[in-house]
Amino acid sequence: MKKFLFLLVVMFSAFSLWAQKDGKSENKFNVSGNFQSDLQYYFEDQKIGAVAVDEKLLSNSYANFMISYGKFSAGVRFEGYYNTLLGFPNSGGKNDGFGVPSYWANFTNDKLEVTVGHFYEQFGNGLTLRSYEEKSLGIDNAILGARVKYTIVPGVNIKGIIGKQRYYWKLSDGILRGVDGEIQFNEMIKSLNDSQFRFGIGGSFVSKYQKEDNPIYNLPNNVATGAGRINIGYSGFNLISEYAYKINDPSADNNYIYRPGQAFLINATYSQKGLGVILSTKWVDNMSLRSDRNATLSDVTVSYLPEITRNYTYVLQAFYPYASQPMGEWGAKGEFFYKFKKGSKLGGKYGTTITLNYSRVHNIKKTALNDSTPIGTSGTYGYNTSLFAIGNELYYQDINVEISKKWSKKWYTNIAYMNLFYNYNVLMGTAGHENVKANIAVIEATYKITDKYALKGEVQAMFTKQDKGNWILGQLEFTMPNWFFTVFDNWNYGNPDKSARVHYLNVGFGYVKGGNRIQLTYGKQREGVMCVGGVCRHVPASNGFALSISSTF
Amino acid sequence: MKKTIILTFAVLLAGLFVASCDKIEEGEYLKNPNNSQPTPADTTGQKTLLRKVLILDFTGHKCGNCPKGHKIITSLEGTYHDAVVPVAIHCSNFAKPEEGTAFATDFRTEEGNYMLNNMYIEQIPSGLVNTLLPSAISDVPTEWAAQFAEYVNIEPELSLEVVPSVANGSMSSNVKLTAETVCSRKLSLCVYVVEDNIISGQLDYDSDPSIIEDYVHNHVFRMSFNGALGESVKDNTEEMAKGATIEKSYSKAIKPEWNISNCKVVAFVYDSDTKEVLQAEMVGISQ
Repeated sequence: MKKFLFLLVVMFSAFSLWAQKDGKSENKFNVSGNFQSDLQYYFEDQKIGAVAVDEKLLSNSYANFMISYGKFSAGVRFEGYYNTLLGFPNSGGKNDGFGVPSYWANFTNDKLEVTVGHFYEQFGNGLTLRSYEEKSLGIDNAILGARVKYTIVPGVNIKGIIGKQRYYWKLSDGILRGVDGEIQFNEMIKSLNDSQFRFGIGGSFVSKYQKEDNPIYNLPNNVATGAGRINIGYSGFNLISEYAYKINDPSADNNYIYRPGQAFLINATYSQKGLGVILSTKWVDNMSLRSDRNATLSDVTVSYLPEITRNYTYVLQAFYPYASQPMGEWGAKGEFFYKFKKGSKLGGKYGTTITLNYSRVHNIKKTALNDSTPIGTSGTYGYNTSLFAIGNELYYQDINVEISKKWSKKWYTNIAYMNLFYNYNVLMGTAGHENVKANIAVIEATYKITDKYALKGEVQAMFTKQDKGNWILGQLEFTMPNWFFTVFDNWNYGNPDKSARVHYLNVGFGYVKGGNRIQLTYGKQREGVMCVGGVCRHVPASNGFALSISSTF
Repeated sequence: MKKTIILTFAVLLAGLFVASCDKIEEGEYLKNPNNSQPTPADTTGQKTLLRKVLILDFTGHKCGNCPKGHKIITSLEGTYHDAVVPVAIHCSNFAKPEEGTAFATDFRTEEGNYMLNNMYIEQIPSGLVNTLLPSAISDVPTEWAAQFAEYVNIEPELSLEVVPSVANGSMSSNVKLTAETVCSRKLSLCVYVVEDNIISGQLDYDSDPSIIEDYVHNHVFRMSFNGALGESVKDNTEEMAKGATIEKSYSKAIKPEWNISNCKVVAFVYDSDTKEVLQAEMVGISQ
C-alpha cells in the first residue's frame, strides 16, 4: 500500500516536470473527486424472510480522487466494506475490508492516449471486451495493466490493452490481451465529412491466457475471441451490427464443453422529429468469456451481451426483470415512439407522447451430438446448433404501452400498461416453479404547486395468478428546493398464503445541495432480483434504516 | 490514405498473431479417458499410509447444476478410489422438500443448516476440499478436482482408524487418531454419518428431461456425532510424539428413515487454527 502511494507520488512528480517543460499557460492543477457511503441498519423480520445481521450495521463506501495537469491526469480509488451490505457478492467474506482497489495515470494528446494502472474499456458493443463498473450490482472488473489509443488519421483509431482484471481485492488469474480498430469513413475522407450517408467498420480481438491445471480435462491455456462490426447511416436511419466468435473455452459457465461460441446482433433505428423506431435482434450461443474459467456469477466477465429487453423503472414493471443468458438465447425487440403535435386533436395544448414496446426472447435450438450423450455433457463438444436456430422455449415476453401527457402548466400524467411472460425457472435458475404471466398497470401524476414545489403520486398494480400473486403499490413524493420526501407502500395483497400478505412500507427524505446529497429511509425491502443491462443480482429481504451520503467535488 | 488503411489492418493482424489461441482437437478433451491412473495407495499388501481427502459438497435436489458436483466426485472416485471422502450436505432453499413432487424427500439436517449460515454459502453447488475455511469455498466443481489433486499426494501427518457398530437402535463409533510424525498443532475431530443409494428426485440441467425421478443420492449427510464442526481433541500446541494416539467413542440413536446397511461413518481431523483437514476416513457400518 505504502509502496504504491510512493509510486503514485513519483509518477506525478514526473508528470508535473514534463508538463512544466510544455510551458503552456493552460496547464494548471485541477483536483476533483467524489465520495459515496451507503449504510444500512438491519432488523430481523421473519415474516418477510429478513435475517438478523451479527454486525447490526453494514456499509459500502467508495471515494475517487483525480488530479489533472495539462495532458496528464491520475487517480486513485478507495473502497471500504465494513462489512459488505447484504445482497452484494461476498461469499466467504471476500469483499469485506478497506483498501485501494484501483489507481491510474493517463497521458492524452491529440493523437495518443496512454493509461497505466486500472482502466475501463469497451470494444464495439462489448461482445469481445467490456470492463466496467456497476456499483449497484457490486461489479467492478477494471483491468490493471496498460492501454494505448492512437488516432492514425481522423476517423481511424486503434487501441490495445494488456492486463489482469480486478477480482475483489485480488487479481483474476488470467491475463487479457486485446486490440481494436475502427474506421469511420465520414471522418477520414474530407469530401464525406458532411454527407448524409455514413459508413464505418471495426474489428476487435481479445485473447486470454490462463494456465490449465485441471486433473480431468485438457484445457486451452489461450482462449481467443474476435469480432467484426459495421455501422451504416443515412439521414435519420442508423444500422449497427456485430458478429463475434470465440474458440473452445471449456469453463464453469458452459459446463466444460469444447464447442466454440458465437454472437450476432443487429440494431436498426430511425428517428425524426417526434418519431422514433428501434428494431433489434440478437442470437447468442456459448458466448460467456471470463478471465478466469472457474469464475461464476458476475465475477471477472470479459465479454458483455447487450440486453435486448427494455429496462423498466417503475417498481412493479421491474419486478420480474430479464437476465441475459450467455449460454444461448435469441431475442428481438421493437420500440415505437410518437409525439402528437401540440395543438393537434390528440396532442392538446402541450403535446402527447405514446411509446409502444414489444420484446420476445427464446432459447436457441440445440441438438445432441449422438443418442448416448446428453446435451452439454462435460468433456465433449457439447451439442450442435446453427446460427439463428431458435428453440421452442419462451424465456421472456413483454408488451408495453405508455402514454405521457402534459395537461397544463401544473399537471403532467403518465400511464402505462404492460403484459409480461417470465420463464421463472430459467431466469431464476430453479426448478418446479410456475412461469409467471402478469398484467401491470401504472398511473403517475405530477402536480406543480408552484415553480419550486411539486407533488407526485403513483399507483401501480400487478395482477398475476402465479408466484406471490397480486401486488399494489402507492407512492407520494414531495419535492421542494434542496429537499425531497417520499413514502410508498408495496402491498402483496393477493399472496395465496394469507399470512404473507405483507405491506412493504417505506418512508424517506433527502437533502441535496450542490454536489452533496444525503438520504435517510426506513422500510422493508422485498426479496427479489435487480438487473442492470441484463446482468442481475439477488436482493435479499431486509427491514431497517438506510442512510446514503454522496458528494462530488 | 491507402497506406493508412493497410497500416491499420497490419496492426490488427499483428495483434491477431501475438494474441494466440489454443484449439483442442476432438478426442483429446480428456486427460485420462479410461480412468486408468493408478490409485496412490500401495497395492503390495504392506500398509502404506494414504492422505485421504475430504470433500464437503453443499447441494440440493432442486439445484439443477448440483449434479455437476456429484459427477466430479464420481470421476475422482474412479481415479483415486478410497482416497476420496465425500459428504453431500443438502441445504438451502434448493433442498426444501416439495410434497407431492419428485422432490418430497427432506434431506436437510440441523448441522447442514448451521454450516450453510456459518460458512457464508451464497449459492450451491459449493464445495470445501480438505478445509473448513469459509474463504476457500468454491462454487465450481471442476475446481474441487484441482484442489483435490493438490492434497492427495502429500504425506499424511496423522492416521485415523474408525470402528463403527450398531446395537439396540443406536449407532456407535470408536475413532483412534495416531500421530505419524511429531505433531504440535491444535486438533479438532469431526465424526459424521452418511448414507448411500437413496433413490429420490433430482433436478439436473444436463439431463433431458431435467427432473430425474430415480436419481441415486450418495454420501448424503445424516448426522454428526459431535456437532457440525466437531470438537477439539487437542487444544494446545504441546508436542504429540510420533505414534501417540487419541481415542474417542460416540453413540447416538438411529433414525427410522435411514437404511443402516447403506450408512457409513466419516471421521476427519483438522487443524483448529488453520482449519486444514489433515486426515479423513470413511468406513461402512456392518450390523
